[in-house]
Amino acid sequence: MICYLLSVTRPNNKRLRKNIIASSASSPGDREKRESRWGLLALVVPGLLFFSVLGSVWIWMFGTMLDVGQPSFPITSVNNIQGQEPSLIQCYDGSFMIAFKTSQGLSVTVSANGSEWSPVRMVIKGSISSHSLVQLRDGSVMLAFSSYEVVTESGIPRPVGHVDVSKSKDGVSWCQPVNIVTGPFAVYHISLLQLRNGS
Amino acid sequence: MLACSTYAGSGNNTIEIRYSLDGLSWTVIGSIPTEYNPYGISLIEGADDNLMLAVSEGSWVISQGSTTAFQGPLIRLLNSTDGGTWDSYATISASFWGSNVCLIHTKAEYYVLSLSSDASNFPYPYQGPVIILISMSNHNMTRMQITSVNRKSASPSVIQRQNGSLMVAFEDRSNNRIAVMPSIEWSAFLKSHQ
Repeated sequence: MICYLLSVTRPNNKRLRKNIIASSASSPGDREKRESRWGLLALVVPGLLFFSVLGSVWIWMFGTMLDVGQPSFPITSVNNIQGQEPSLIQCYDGSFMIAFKTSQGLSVTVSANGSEWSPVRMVIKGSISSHSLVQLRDGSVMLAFSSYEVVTESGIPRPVGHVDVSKSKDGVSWCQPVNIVTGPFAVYHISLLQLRNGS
Repeated sequence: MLACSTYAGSGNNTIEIRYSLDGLSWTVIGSIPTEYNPYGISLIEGADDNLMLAVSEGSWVISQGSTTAFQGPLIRLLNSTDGGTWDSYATISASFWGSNVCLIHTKAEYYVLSLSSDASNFPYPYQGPVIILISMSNHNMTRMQITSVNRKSASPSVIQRQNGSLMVAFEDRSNNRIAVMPSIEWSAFLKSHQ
């Protein structure tokens, strides 16, 4: 706003002053055209300045709320895989494995470097509610997964939850799942862990 | 060791801790009641052979058949020496909500907890992932946004790679794909947030 007032009341720009001097020697029509052009410029430039200042204030005010300026890190897609709830591990040999839910069950993919991933391999078919992937001390990987069903007894529906585990030595062939938990509840999430003592 | 968050009807939410020597036969050794629905859990072995459990709690408020709010978003960190008795280690304020949580013990002096989302963005709570650094020395917590706020994402799974850098896999809901951040260099990560 201050810039705008200065530009209107005190044309101290050399070129502008020169134009004003030159305009006094030209015809009234030319002078009107030049004056209207400079009048327009005097409105546009301060206007731009005004809105850029306003924009900065806006970013300053709302940026905090929106986390503008927080750092981002490179992101790569895993083979254009459509899936949910990835469970990521790094194996002892340095390779990576991700287990994730799909509409058909549980699948895994492996990578040597974390950037290029193998074709997806389906491990478990069925409706899965949660899963957890760990590498055991013997080098094999264990996948625990939960599911539940609703059964009706005496006309009253109630959930029955299950947790099963499956093991693999190479991430390719997986053992038949073994049920380890069944109970009268829905299972939200599970988290599997092998302790340092091996249990 | 297996942690299992269960729902057995209104007001009957529990996290059960099970223990097994052979991976086939499991015994319940601990039970932790939760105030709200225990959505996400993450169990790890801590720095001193202790057990740490992160729990994401909350309940959707449904009014006249439609979801209107999320009640009591809360992240609790619990500590145990034996898996049977659990003490509160830290509580993260209700301004965050992560249906999936992932806790790791880093080689540095921090635990890292990754969350799906931020409840302040309701009804679009999938902006994230968010990482919380938890200092082991004083339990202080620092929140860090690691992706653009315009990228809808959820369910982060974080590890510390053998080279020390962090790696995060998550649902990229902007593109409906599984995505990874292959390498977040640890020292640069800390420096960028100081």
